[in-house]
This record gives sequence, C-alpha cells and structure tokens, in this order.
Amino acid sequence: LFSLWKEFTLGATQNLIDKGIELPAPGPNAASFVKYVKTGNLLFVSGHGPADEFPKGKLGSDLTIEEGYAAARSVGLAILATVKNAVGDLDKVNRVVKVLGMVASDPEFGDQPKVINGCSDLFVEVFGENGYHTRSAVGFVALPGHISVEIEATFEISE
Amino acid sequence: VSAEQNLKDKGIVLPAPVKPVATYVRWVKTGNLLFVSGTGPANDHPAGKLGRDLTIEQGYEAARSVGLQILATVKDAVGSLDNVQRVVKVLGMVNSVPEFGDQPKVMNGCSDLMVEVFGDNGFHTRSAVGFVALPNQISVEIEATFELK
Repeated sequence: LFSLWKEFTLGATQNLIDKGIELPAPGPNAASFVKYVKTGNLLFVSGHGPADEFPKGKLGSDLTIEEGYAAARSVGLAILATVKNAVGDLDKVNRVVKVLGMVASDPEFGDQPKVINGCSDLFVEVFGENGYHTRSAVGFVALPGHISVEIEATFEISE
Repeated sequence: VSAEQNLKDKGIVLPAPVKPVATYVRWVKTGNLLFVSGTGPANDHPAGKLGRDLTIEQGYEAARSVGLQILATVKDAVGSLDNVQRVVKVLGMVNSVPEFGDQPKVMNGCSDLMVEVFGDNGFHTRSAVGFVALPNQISVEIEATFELK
C-alpha cells in the first residue's frame, strides 16, 4: 500500500522517466530579471518561451493551432526545467497553482485555450491531479523575439 | 459587514458557476489564498473589441457579469462569501483595438461590484489592460486572487 501511495503522491520524477519526457537545460537570464522567485511555499516562475527550433510568428496568421500547441508544450518543459533547478526535485511540487498563457495572436484569433493546453496537458501528465491549475489563456499583440507563446506559472512547494 | 447579506440587500443574484472547457480548473486554494482562473462574461453579452465593436458601457456591463461569475466560483470554492477576508488582486484583460485606452473604465464594472459586495475589503490591486484577442473574442476576461479568513 505504501508503494502505491508513493506512486500516486511522489510520482512526478517517475512520471518523467516512465513517459520518456526529457527536460531541457535551464536557460540563462536574458535581461534584468530572474527565472524564479520563491516566497513562502509559493514558487513564481517568469515568462518562458519555447525552444529555439519552434517557428516564430502569430497564431491565426503564421502558425496553426497544432504548431502553437507544440510550442506551448515546449514552454512547459522549459518551465519544469526551471522548477527542478529551483527546488532540486519535481517531487517537491505540491501542485501547480496558476498559469498565464500568453499567445501571440492575430486580432481575430480566438483559440488561445487550445494552444495553451499544450502546457496544461503536460503538467497533468507529470503531476497527475495536482497538475490541474487556474489559468488564463489570452492573446498578445507581440512577444519578445516574436516567439509564438510565452507562459508564466506559480507552483506550491512542499517544505 | 456580511457579503452574503449585502448580496441579499442589493438583490444581487449569482449565476451558476461555469465548468472549464479546457485543461484547467476554476479555482485553486493554497494557504489562505484562493486563485480564480480567467473568467468571461455570461453568454448574453456581445463579443467583440472595445474601441470598435462595443461601447465603454457595454464593456462595463460585461466586466460586471464577469465579476458575478467570479463570485459564483468563489462561493462554490469556499461555501460562503463571508469566508472571504478581502479581494487581493484583479487582472482585467480587455479585448481592445490598438487605439483604445479606457480599459480602467471598463474594468470598473468588476471592481465596483467587489466593493458593493465586500465593502472596504473589496478594494484590490489591479491592472486593467488591453489585449489583442481573447478566447472566442469575448470582450473581457478577468482573473482574481482572494484572501480567505
């Protein structure tokens, strides 16, 4: 029973291994800010972008929803790499609290939620029920370097 | 001052809380903070952008509708609005054409409601800003954070 409990409650790291999910190396800070701040048992993670190989541009004019979804998943992996770097072990995450999904959008594009699901689905894959979070998924006129998706997130950390 | 009593006295009726339509939940409680997801207005409010499709008054009404929906979610989360200590933070996202600059007047629709319901504890930190596009081109989306007793 203990091993069962362990599987369901301490399983984020194991989930990564089981599902073959590889985290990228946490990137350097690109401006006058840091990638994360821990206050109390909350970890705030700065806006992250996708890996370099993902195409630039806006949803609704340059990129398909599927390309946006894949970019959002890439952002999620980068965020998890930062979390792991911050707290040492993804198993120290109690739950995902909040996600702000910023989608570079053509003015008439309205499927931001389908794009940000790329990140949200990843968090549920990795953390199970504790991966569900509050969220806003909304359209921005321009993002740094013309990346398609930027996401910031808040996590609750166990002591 | 009781928030629940204020609702009754002012005849404010909360809608049924909506269900998420993607991979997220309506609220998360952590410590004494309650985070509420980005929420849109009721379906009878017109879609479109401020500065082109909608007047400030229509935006104000939409923002009030969002506020009611958020309060319905809070009540669903913690049982009674009287369990709210105060409103902490509101992010008001207004679907805007580039030249529109009256996002604060739109967002007052939600903020005024919070003060009506919670009195002085309804005042909150806020950003009210323009977004190029929102899901299904709703006019206003708002996320909020509450402190619980």
